[in-house]
Amino acid sequence: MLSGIFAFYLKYLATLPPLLAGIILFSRFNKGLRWLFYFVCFGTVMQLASRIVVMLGHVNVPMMHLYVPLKFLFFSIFYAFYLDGFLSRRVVYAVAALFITFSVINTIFIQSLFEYNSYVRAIGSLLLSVYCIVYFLKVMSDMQIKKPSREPMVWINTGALFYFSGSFFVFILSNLILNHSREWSLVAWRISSILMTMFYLSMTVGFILTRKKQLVKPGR
Amino acid sequence: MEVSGVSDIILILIIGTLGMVIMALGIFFFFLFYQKKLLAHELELNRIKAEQQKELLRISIFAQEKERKRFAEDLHDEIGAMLSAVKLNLGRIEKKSSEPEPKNLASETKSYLDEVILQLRRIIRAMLPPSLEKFGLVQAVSELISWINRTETIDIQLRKSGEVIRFDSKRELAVFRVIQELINNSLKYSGASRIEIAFRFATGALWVMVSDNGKGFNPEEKKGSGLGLQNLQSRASVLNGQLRLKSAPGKGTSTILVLPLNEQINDN
Repeated sequence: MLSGIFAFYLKYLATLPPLLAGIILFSRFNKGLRWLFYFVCFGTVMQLASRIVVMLGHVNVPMMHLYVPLKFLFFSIFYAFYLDGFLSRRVVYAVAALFITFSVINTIFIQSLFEYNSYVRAIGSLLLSVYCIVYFLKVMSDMQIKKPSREPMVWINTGALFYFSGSFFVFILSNLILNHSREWSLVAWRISSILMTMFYLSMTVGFILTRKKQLVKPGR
Repeated sequence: MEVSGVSDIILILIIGTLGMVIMALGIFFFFLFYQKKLLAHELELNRIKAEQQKELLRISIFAQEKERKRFAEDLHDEIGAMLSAVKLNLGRIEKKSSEPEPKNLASETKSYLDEVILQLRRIIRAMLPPSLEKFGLVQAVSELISWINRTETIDIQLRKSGEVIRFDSKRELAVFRVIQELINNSLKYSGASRIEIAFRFATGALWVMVSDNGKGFNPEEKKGSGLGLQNLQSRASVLNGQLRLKSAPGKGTSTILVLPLNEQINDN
């Protein structure tokens, strides 16, 4: 019963807390957080669309070929904003452009539209994990944050680091596991979903913390 | 990726995912620990910097006091002595003159000179309260008050409680300067008709309160500007004391200086 409720939450409601917090507090967000909120909206729409496609008896895998590069783009804009002054925006945007190109090449030549784009997703996660680490380095270098627990971005970045790094092996092995065991494939995706839910919750905490905080453009 | 079977893939998945989560945990805790360490280091640097600034301020205040003392002594010993000699000579001219016109002129000049000598004494007294070193802070403040009360423009009252104790003369002078500045502020800006100065000698600490019934002001508005408030705060911090100011428009102003008495000032 409990696991059923949990599975339902993971499937349909995971994006709800940051979505509600974002709608209520959007006016307090800076440019970076606004882009993160746009990703939450995009994620919610994609999740709903994916469920509808499955309910209609179609395969939702092609949607991943759109979801993964766009997700990377949202996070690239988000991190370009927060890493500005430490890592050039041009570098972040160039990486995003390369990644999207790779994603298109992958769809055309390597993993077809009806095959799960595991390589693209794994590499995307790895790159975003690097951004998470770079953000921590930037915070340590700037010394502007005195109380990390009250800093929205520390919460969001920590959630992102756990999600992107923890899901890396799930993403890269997903096709391989599915070929061998459907049961283990579900377990692997459950792990990723849990990490993703934790990320959405940390995002919610981050959004809520903007209530008491004057958000300014980060920089050196 | 060459893998022999499902168990190998599962093993790679579990170990890989666990490894990544542990790595993320490690990075997160390293960030927290290192951030804490860096902040502690920065706080320590700030503390040292503040201590150095305080020391510089202390040196500058004592140099200022030394210069004041020298200047006051020069005024007293040289100018004061000369003016006394001039006054004596004028008295002699006044006595010896038989003509009424020069006699009157000498008398008039003598009265001007008396005023000049009085003003000079006031300046010397303000620069170096004569009784401070001999009789201590309370006596020096009491003399300052009686000097001001003579003008009959304001009523200043002095109260003291607890056993009056003497402490380091440089600190006494510094407290005297704070009180002097507070009285000056009241006289200049408050339009008060009454000022009250209260000394409370407690175990290991001295409380001094200067309050007036003037027009008061909003301390937030005056922060960082005018009134010599910053100067007062600096002097209080050099004394390792605390200065608290309470005021509101129409409600007068009261300032409390709390000073630990078991400390010595390093005047080198």
